[in-house]
Amino acid sequence: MTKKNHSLAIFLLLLPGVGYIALFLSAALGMTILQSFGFFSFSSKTEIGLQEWARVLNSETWDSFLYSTKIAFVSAFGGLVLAYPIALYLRRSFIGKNVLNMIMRVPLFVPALVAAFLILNILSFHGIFNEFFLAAGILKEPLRLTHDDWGIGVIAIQIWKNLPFLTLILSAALVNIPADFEHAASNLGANGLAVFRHIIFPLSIPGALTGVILVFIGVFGDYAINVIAGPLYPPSLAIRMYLFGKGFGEWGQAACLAIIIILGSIFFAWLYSKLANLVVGGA
Amino acid sequence: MATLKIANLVKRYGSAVVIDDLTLEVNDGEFLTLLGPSGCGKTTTLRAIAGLVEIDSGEIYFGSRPMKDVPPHKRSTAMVFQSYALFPHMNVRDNIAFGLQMRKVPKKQQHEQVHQVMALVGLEGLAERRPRELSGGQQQRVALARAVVTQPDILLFDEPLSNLDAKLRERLRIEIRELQRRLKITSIYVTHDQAEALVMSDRIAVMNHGRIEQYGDPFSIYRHPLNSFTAEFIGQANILKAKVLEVRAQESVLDTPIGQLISNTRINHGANEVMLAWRPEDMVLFEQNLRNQISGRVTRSIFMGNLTDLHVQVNDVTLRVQVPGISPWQPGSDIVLGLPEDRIQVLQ
Repeated sequence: MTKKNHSLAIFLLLLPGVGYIALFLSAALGMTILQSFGFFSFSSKTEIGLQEWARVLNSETWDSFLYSTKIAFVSAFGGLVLAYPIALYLRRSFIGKNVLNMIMRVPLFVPALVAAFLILNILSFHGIFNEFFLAAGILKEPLRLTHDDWGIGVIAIQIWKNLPFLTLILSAALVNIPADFEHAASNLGANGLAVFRHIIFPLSIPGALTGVILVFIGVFGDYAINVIAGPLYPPSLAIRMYLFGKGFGEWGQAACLAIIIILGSIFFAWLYSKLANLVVGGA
Repeated sequence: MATLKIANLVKRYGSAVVIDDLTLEVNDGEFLTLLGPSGCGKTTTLRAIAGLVEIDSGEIYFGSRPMKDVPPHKRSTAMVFQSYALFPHMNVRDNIAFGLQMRKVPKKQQHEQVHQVMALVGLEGLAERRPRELSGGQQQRVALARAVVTQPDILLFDEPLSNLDAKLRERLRIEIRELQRRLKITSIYVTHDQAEALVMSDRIAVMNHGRIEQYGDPFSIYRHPLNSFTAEFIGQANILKAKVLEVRAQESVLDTPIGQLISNTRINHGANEVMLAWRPEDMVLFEQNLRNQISGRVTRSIFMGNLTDLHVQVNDVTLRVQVPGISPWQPGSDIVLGLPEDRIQVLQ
């Protein structure tokens, strides 16, 4: 096979997959951007301008943005905090390791919507959690853990759903840290906590933050779990987008909210990569 | 500064015994090398001293203090790793200061000590660099500086020069040894390189299959190997089986595949067969004053720069002979070798 034919063969092999992503991404993104500026509106005549943006950029959108950012941040970093001891422990060999691995992976096989309903049974006003602690006399009245302003139920479901993924990503990051680094630190006087703080944590952060970014973006743009367990107000950005698009027929504003979600995701991904550089200092 | 004593150390990985009832004593300020082939247990022994490996039985003492229940971060050891294990996210200064930081040494004092040690090992001007910006030799110096700055009781070296080229290795082994002499820190050095061991050590423990085969100063190890393993592992050796013909007051007469030989070792009564060893450079060509004369034919002549390695066929045995410089004796030449009586070692 000549060099030219070889390059052509590679191009044709990649075209379906890469082409599919590129085409739909560019087409969908392009359409959304145009719609946010009044082009190709599904609900009204084309009216080019910033009027859709002017309608969307208000305090309610800001509340949704803050809410989505908050639950994404707490879910992602809360999940990371829980994932670290699990990932560290799973580096060892021990009896029952396979069983623990299997248990940790169960949430990966449960669809998000199903997970939301399952955990709702535990956290809802008359769920298992409240009924148990009421019966035990620890609570005098049930706690509002779902559909609350803080998004406690949403955060709990998101952490449950994403913990295995974070643990997997973190385990991969930890495996890449040579054991000699920990031995050297220990040999130089670092106890377990110091080894974690000065060696394991900084060296695992770039890998860990990759998982955090992916979880953050997923939670930031989440619709399903917020519908099941989220507050009425403020709704998440994705719910707000759906309401405007499908509910009110305001496709232009829905497009603006979609752009906000995309730009927000890009911004936070950039922020996290800067954070990783800061922690590791270019190692 | 401390003495080190290892008593009946045993370490197993599953059914494999990696350290087999090992006992060793190292004097204060001494430089001991654990020398042996890969898998002989030398690195495991080193790591057991550092507390990085749990032992199954036996004890390790620093001075009179038993170390079995002392975790690694509380032992006064510092190790230079084969991979150097420099922390990639810290610069040279922070790497060296790490041990001091863990010991909560005040910042100002840390700065002074780091500065002193960097000058000592020749790292001036490199404080801000990251490990990936350093050469192999520089990384090795940083690893050394990081170890010595904490002023440990025992310094441990795990084949620290194995990743370097030959010239750099030669230079650094001398520098390490001089630094150790100056600081007078008890040091344990692990290597499979016999030249390194001979050059650097006060004493050498030759290890094989988790046991010490021989323990002594470099001269004794080289000149008087006690067994065939040590004889063959350190340098080259001609090793032959021999029958004891006669034991006299101060010598023994032996029958070997290359003829009768006289050794000035008085072999114990009752021993019918023994193993003999001598070094290739011990044999001399055409020296008629020696009682041991061996005739043979050169089968190979290998020029190695400062010496020539000759393979000489004597009956069914091929002897190795080393002569200084260039040898005129080419393959096919008949030669007569003389073997001094005091150079024949009787092995255990």
